[in-house]
Amino acid sequence: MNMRTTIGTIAIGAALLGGGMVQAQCDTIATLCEKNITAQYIPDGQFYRALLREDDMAEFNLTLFGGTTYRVAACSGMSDGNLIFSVYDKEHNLLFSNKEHNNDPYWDLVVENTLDVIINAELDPAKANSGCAVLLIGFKR
Amino acid sequence: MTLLKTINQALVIAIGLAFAACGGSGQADQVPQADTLAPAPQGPGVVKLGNKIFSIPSPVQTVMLLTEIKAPYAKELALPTDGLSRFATKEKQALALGVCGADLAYAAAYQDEQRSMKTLKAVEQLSGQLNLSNAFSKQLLKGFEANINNRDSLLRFTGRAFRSADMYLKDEQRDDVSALVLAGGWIEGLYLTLGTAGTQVDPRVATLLAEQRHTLENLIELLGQYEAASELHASLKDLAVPYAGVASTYKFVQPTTDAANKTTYINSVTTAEVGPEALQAIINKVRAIRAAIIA
Repeated sequence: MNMRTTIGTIAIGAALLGGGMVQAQCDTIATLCEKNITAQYIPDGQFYRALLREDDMAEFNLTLFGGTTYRVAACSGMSDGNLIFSVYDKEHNLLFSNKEHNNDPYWDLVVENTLDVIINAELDPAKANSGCAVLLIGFKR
Repeated sequence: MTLLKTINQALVIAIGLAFAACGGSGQADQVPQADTLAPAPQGPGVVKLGNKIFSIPSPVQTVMLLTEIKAPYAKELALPTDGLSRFATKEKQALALGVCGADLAYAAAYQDEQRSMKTLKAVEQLSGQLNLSNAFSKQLLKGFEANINNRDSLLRFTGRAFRSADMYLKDEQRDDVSALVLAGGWIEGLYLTLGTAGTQVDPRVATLLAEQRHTLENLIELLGQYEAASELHASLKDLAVPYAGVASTYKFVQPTTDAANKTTYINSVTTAEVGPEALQAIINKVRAIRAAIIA
């Protein structure tokens, strides 16, 4: 019984440790990713993250306001280029994908008229099997 | 013996996890990346954080629009910074923190230094009550004070401070608090946008209100996950009724990309209009929700 309790405690401890490490890793990635939101951009005040496997896709819903330039930064892992992000309008027309630009970790979107968009983020299977995906957004007018 | 073996395996897994998280930067060029994590609990397909990932527009952005249309500054609109102790529950404190975040951006955008400092103190107080003091680091707050004369810096500090708080809350798995802070900031942004005008609003303000329809839908879905937000959730569903009267159009136009400058121009054409009756109902409900939040 004591042995079972010990095993249970260790297993729970391992799970908690794993969960805490995932958070720590997301935070580290966010810190690295933040460098892409340069001083001209005002952070939108939110932190978006998702844990992805190679066949997963995270879906971010947002409204982009007219007359605004958005800086979208998308990161996973400790180096650039692991995350593919694509921006679609509500009719699922592709507006932008960094896949066409070597998985660039950031891109600016100049928005003329307010529109609702979905940003899909997925790991580049050639570079990562699983990981924390972080999306940061800044804006300027 | 078998049990001991199992213990050993559990320890190996735990230690292995620890090393997996600590490793990293030096392995940057290896494929796959070093940050291999435990698989997400969801199955293949779309992963939604906390079941949903929504962006709520920053109140900083809303108040910047106000300055652009030269809306008059009305400092009496902001939440008085004394008497914050009346917000006794975590829900009320989280909403009030969001309100104060928007007020902080409002004061900063209109370069009301005195009000900015008072509101910053209110943010500090509420963040302390919510055990968020770690998120609003001293360095960040000092930076705010040091840049009190610089409007753009203050707005940036405000955005960074609230991102830091959002990250902290999500790390702590207090997503409900995070959602309430966002909701409080969003409602306050709308409330400030309405200004002191009674029933008449600038047509650009009316458009701005109409353009919030999708955000309102997102917020309703987001808050619907949390029991702590049930009262506000019901109020926002009421607000959605007049929002159904918003008429919007969308015409896709091919975007243009300037790869050298890492920029894409989104050229699609949209309109959002709201009739006078629905507009009035929206205005009344926004003011009522805000009054309930600060009661």
